Amino acid sequence: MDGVLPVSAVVTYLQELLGADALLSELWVVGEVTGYSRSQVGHRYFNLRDGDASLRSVLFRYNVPELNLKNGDRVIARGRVGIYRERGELQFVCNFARPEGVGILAARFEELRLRLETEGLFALERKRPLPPFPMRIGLVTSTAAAAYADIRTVLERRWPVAEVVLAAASVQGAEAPAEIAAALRRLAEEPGLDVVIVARGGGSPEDLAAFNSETVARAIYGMPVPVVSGIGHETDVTIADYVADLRAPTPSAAAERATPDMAEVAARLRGLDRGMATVARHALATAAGRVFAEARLLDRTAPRPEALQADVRAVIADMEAMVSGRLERGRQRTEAAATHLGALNPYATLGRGFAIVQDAKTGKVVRSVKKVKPGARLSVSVTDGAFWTEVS
Amino acid sequence: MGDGADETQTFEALYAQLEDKARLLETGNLPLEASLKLYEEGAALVDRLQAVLAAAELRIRTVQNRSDDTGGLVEDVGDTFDDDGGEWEDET
Repeated sequence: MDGVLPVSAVVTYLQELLGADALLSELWVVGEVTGYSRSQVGHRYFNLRDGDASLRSVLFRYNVPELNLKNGDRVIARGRVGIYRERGELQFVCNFARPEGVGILAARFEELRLRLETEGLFALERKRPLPPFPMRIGLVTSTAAAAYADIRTVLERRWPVAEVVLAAASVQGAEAPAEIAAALRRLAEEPGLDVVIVARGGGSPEDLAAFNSETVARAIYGMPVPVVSGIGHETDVTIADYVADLRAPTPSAAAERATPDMAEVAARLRGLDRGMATVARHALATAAGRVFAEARLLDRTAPRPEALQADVRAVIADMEAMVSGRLERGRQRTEAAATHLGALNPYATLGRGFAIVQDAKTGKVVRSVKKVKPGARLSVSVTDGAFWTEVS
Repeated sequence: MGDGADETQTFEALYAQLEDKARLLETGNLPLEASLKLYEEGAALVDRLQAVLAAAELRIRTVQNRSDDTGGLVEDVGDTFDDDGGEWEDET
């Protein structure tokens, strides 16, 4: 039948019409609850009335399950307008509602917070640790604001080592969410960025509204590097704060949390230097002590023990001076000195095939043929041990 | 893992190397030459890191947002009320 439509086609047409409408796809309405009923499974059905009009509404059980509605309640509700196919009826499908008294700003805040949290944007596991020594710090704020000056002061005092990459944006007003998001996206493309600070100073809830927007929340979530938020006063918590990797109570605090204290780092470096020098000195002292001890063991009446001791002391003094920084630190000096010290060790020559010959009875070292008689018992020490021999 | 002669290593990487060498040195039981070599390398790292701190001067570089960035997610349908960029109306 030409020009005659089946009912299902008409209903489908209506569904598509409504679905394509931006306003009807996502809106907030205010009205009074009438004709309230709750189904077996827990879905809540009611009319939202205002003046001479009403909308049939449904709030499914898994949306704001803790909300109890009754006839006469005035509510702010978020949802979409669609067609319930089976009855061909207009229906407002709610996904969130609050008593009208909380106000639209608070209602929007709570709805967005709930939705993004459910989606996982606030997940603790996703929060990234801040780099300990950031060399390039991104900053999103308004250059006109006091927050900018505060942050600069903190960074100059605390970690002037870093380069700040500033992407300016309005931090209040209708254009703010888009500007902040664009600034963040610009920083996301910046190579070598270690951390990003998003900040604005204190203000009224309306002033802070941009940081409670979905646009900014998603832009922060999408950043490839950790984001530190410093928004408003200590008691202000915005959606941006929930999404950020770290929330600081104020802009200055954000700059502090994002950076180490240069004075502290310098002190740590000095400490490490001193600690290593102490160990190096100790190693030198131990090695020197060992050389002396072995020399003494070898021959109590060695011809010039003072000369050996003087040699060792000279090497030690040289290395000491290097360790305490008085001489130029040089790799070759250390290695040469260590080699020298090793060479002074009397046992070092044994490895080259020399032997130490001692009188078996007295233990005195034999240095001359004049000191041995035939038949004398001698001990011969080589690198890996000793053995007896007899002079023939 | 060389002598740290790589000029492109970050402060963080160099600091981590320094801490590693200090830790190795502390645990001891190393022959004298190894200890002195560790000390030497550690001292060089300290010098480098201290130089970075000494040369520090805060720099701020501004980047521009792209002029064609329309801002992604649109929160409301305010676009239909775009300003036509006209002149100020007369105040009466």
